[in-house]
Amino acid sequence: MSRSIVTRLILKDFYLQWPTLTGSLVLGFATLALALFGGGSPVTFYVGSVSFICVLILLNVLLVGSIVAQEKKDRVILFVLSLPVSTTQYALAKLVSSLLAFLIPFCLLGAAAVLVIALTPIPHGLIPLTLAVMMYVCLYFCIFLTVALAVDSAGWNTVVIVCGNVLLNFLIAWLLNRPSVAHASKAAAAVWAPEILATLAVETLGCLLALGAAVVTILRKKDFL
Amino acid sequence: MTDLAIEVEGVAKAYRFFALSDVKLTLPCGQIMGLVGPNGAGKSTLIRILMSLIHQDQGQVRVLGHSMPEEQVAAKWQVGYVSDDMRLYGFGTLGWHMRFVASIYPGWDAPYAQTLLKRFNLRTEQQIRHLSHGERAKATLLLMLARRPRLLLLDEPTTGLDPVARHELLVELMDVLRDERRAILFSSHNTQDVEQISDQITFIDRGRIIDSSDKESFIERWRRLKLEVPAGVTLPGVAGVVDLDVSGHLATVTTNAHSDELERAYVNAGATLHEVQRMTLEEIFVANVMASRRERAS
Repeated sequence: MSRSIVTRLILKDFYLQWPTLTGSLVLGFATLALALFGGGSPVTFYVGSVSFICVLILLNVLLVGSIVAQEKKDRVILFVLSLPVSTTQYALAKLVSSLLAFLIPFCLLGAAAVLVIALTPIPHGLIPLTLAVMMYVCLYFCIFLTVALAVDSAGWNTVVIVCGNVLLNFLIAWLLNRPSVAHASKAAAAVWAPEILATLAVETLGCLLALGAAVVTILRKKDFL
Repeated sequence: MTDLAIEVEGVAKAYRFFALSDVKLTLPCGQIMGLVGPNGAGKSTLIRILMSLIHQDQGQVRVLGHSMPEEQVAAKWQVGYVSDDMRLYGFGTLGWHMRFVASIYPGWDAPYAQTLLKRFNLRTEQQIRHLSHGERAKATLLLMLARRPRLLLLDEPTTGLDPVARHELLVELMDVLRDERRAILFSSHNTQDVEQISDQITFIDRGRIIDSSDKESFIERWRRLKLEVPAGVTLPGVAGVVDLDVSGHLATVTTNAHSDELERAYVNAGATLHEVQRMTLEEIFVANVMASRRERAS
């Protein structure tokens, strides 16, 4: 019975987030179309790819903001916790619904981004760089989700958002300044430079650690008010 | 099956600037208890502990026979909770909220929900964000009542409501008690509401229960005596006097243990009893809180 309530809470979050999910998919595909219809023009590709990353970050911030933080701020949490669900089940439902709501459009848009690069004259060597940047957004999401679940603080949420956005610029600059990455990104075929592989490994490990910390937080935390 | 809807024993919860201490409380099934206290007294904290929204640092809490917070899920199936700061999803309609809650509770009473919709003049297609404060409060109450809970925990549900909406809400609460297996714990700082519907009254101040009794007992026990005290007469110390205010030859005695013996003690000492006043619940509440604070300060 409890499990079915947790499932209902997850479905409820999906229902309430459908405008955000639909909007991010539409915007994400639109930015990719911009890159595609530019026929490999550097300007349209640049505008399209920057907008694409912005859409992913927006999706990240909006989802965590509304599924976790806003529900606490608006005191809707009192209504949900009045249902036959424990605080742990509530938080686990939040973790799962946020993750799924992020990962579904993230994976669809990620696959579409790879396809755009594969189907246009854009050098296929950009695929590893694109994936490294996308995985960074995923890590950013996992950390933001963990912080939002762990602390009830708009201040901390803002710190994560600011740091997440600033560090993305550092990451892209650092990667493009690696000679092997810069060289590989211009290659006709995808080349996995050691720095790209190391970045992907660190990002994946970071995601796992952040989600592990979220689960530990949920199991240890006594209340979410 | 227990006869007690709520059993609280030695409960404490400490925050940086506030502590709930040594709370003891029982509420039998079939009764309405009014939990009265000033702002920041600990009413919401206590009710949230009863709902396991926050966990007590120490002490035992049983709700409908379930130990809290360990058995909170089992208890919550039979408990309806509403608080004045509880909100619903602004973009959801009332109808969506009703379907959502009904999908969770097999005992959702759809005909009763329809009755409440009409009685509260609400429409299912209304988005919550477009409702007034009173309508939102009634919508929240509808979502709770149609679950047919055995215990209702209401944290200041009448705050901000106009007199008509407050009356509708209180009438509905009285209606709930037609089923004598059900119970209501109702917190408020509005003593009129509490006096209107409660069987039992508990006063809480600064994190402590300062008095708890049935309503009639409160009304009977508390009196204000107006005395004339001639020069040279000293009023005797009498048990149950919570306040003594002397101004010239006139004295006002507030007691929580009124009896004929008490009156005789003053008359025998040489004072003249001019008037014995019954006190309203609000006066009793204020006198009780002030006496408790004086006692703690000394």
